[in-house]
Amino acid sequence: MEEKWIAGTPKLWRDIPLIIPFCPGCQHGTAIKALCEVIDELGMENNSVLVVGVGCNTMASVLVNVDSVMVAHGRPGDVASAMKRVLGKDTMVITWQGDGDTLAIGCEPTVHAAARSENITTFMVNNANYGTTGGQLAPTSVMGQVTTTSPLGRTPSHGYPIQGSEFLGSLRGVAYSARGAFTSPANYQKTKKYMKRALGKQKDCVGYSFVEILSTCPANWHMSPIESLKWIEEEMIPQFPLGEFKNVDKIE
Amino acid sequence: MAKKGYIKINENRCTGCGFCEMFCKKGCVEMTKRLSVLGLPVPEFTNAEDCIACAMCAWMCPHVAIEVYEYLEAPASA
Ligand code: SF4
Ligand code: SF4
Repeated sequence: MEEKWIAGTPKLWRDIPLIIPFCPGCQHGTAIKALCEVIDELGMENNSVLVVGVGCNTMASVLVNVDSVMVAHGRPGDVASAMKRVLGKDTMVITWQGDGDTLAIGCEPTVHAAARSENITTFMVNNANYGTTGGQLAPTSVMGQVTTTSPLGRTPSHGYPIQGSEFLGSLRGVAYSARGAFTSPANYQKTKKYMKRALGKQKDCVGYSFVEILSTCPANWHMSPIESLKWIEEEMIPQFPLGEFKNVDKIE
Repeated sequence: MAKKGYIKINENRCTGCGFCEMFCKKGCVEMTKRLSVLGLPVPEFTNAEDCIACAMCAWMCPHVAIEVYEYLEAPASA
């Protein structure tokens, strides 16, 4: 019988001779797969540049088969702004960052790239802790969350979480801001749609675009992969609601 | 009913998270106790009859370990 390939390894996935270096159930892989598919579906594989920060997200520079550069921790917003200005509007400059990279050490580059309305796209994978270094409290940890630096749960004395999508969506220079998750196949497709819209804003030279992706971190949350998905639905989504927070065709 | 499709699981990438079993609405994928060369439990495609090649298992697989194929009708004049 004849057969047709439907889905699986994206065309832009670079098949490295190593084990894919993510913990069981970590959705960084899902997010990188979605990025490969989105770049491919928009036909941008020959004119995209990926700027990655430091963290588990850094593996995107190895796994996505486009030109990429890894920069100092938190600085993708700065480097991508400069690259976009030098390379011009025909090159899609995408930053791929974690929540610590975007909103902790990299808060200033991110916020000011957004405020300057740099014509770049930032994708932030939010797993509510510092995964690479052992699961410490991050600015995006939810209230009550137990981490290695908040063993009794996050309390107001640790401060409140930064809701990146709403926050950046409130800036005048931002053209697009949305938050997605991969808790179900429907959400997977919806998040991909947000990612496409964000890249569309860059293509149309509207301004800064931002998509936050909620992702599991079973190893640091000390849960099974399936419990982690439930935890996103029950604990994260009520504090980090999904949806679009800004979508304009002109910055004014 | 004719079979609609099938999946292939790449055990060198799979980490045994169980998302494929959880999201296959047709109950075609089951986790087993068998360990892969990486020492992780692997799923098996146990129900080829009911697979509709919807690709949800592949979308949800974080380790890009599943390839989904759909059977095409054989050309009538072949
Ligand atoms: S979803 Fe992928 S990685 Fe997880 S058990 Fe299934 S095949 Fe393995
Ligand atoms: S393609 Fe759909 S029906 Fe077939 S195994 Fe995957 S999820 Fe199940």
